[in-house]
Amino acid sequence: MSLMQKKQICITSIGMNERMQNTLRLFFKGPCGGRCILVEKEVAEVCIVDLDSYGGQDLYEEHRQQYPMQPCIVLSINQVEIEGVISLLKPLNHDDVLQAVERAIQQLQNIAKITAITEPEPEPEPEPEKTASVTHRAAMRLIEQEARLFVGNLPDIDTADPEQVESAEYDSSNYFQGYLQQAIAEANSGNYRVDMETPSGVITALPNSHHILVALTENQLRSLSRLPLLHDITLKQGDVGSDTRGAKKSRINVDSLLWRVALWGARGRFPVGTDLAAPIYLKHWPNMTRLTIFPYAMRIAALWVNQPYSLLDTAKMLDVPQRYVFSFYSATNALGLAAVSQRSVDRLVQPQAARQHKKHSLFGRILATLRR
Amino acid sequence: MTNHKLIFAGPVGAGKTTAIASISDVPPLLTDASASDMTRDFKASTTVAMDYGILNLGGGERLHLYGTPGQERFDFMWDILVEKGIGLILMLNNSNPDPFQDLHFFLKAFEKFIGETTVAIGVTRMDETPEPTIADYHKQLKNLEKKYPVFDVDARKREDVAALVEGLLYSLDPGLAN
Repeated sequence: MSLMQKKQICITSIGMNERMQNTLRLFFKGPCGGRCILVEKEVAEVCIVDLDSYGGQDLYEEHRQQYPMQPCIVLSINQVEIEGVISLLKPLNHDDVLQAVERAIQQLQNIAKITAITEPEPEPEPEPEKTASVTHRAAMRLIEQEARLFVGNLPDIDTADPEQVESAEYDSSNYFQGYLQQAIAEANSGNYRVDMETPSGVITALPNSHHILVALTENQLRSLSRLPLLHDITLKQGDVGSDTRGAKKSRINVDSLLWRVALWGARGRFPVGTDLAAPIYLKHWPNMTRLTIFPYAMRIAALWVNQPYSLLDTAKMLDVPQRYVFSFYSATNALGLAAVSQRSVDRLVQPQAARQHKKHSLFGRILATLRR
Repeated sequence: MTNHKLIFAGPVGAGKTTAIASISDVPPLLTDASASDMTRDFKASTTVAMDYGILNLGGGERLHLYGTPGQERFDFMWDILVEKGIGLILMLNNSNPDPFQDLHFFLKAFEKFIGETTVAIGVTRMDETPEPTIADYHKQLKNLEKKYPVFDVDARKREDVAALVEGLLYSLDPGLAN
């Protein structure tokens, strides 16, 4: 039985008064058999929205912006058709609501399948075979719709507008990413274990190790990574050989974890202080088979490995939404793979478009065949 | 019918046969024979002629997947095999005693072909032998002033082998549509 089937589903309500919320609570307790529970939006997995409430449409849009991949049930007296959203026509009846909740849970399970890489393993120090399977599962290729979970849905920005530029920046030091990078650096330089105590569990960085010990589920990691942290995470030193307080932990490849944490934090944005006109290059290719690969990532990698291009030129040259380029930069920057070219020629000379290979169309057909 | 060719090379036991089988539309034609003394420690049989698979591209167009024999005594075939190939997939076994020696040997052996096309490198058995790391391979390539794609590959997994081929194609043409 999967975790999703065993645990309660956390649902938040948007645009509902206390009376409606109490009705939902009773419904979840009774007809739903306690399978669902009403919670605050910050910890919810599914949302249920009353579109007819005062400001309901705005509240709905704001919530979708913040949680784009969260399964959503909308209630309205009018027929609503929004792609990927479960809509219920008022007046509500018991069976329809139950069915909608089931569909939301199904969507949640599909998302979990996409993102699942870790459930805590029984041993604090799993055998190498387990490590291999965990790192392997970390590799996945996302289609455009799934990628929203990692890349967000920010529209392209006009760089002449400082407000738009600011909206596309994020400061990784305010996010879990910053703490994780600090813990890894500290463990490596100090040659000791560093425990990061998060509200959901402990994450342990080991000195000069390819792996990190994680006692959190994928959903918990995502929740921790995607918003600025309100409170500091305590980093504690420990002996390398000592027990990590008996917690059930998975071993995750450091690069694979850092890559995803950076993507969740950035969600289509770039690190604050990035010069959008500066030519960026890759020191070498990322290990694409063990990372979460979103659309256009391979193309951007191939471009930056060959020649430096600015983030804006890259988006223009490959004709891709800026958020994919910004995300790729944020993730490769977190891994220390991306750098600004210091060669003056890269700034002075207008970058050339990548030359189309004479077998361009054949390569396209091979790609299509490999992905079918 | 239009035919194209993709070459898989690498030392004995690097996973060329398995990689071809992973993406081939037809069961690969294997031409293995009993291993010689040189290769017996790695696997009971080895490929003495070549592996062969097919990727059907539609409309009768095919990509032929050729695996080179792993043993050096067959290297006279390599020049013939790579003719008109679109690129090279180099498979390396991380648990070999000196995988860097293998890396340099094959890059040198296929230097002309790689110069005309390019190469993507798949490193197998990293779960058993995590070191050298992928970053270590890039250090070796950096000494040669090369930035080829190097991926950790499980040759049994179609998505891994497909990603490696994608890496090769995008290296040749980053302008390919997604």
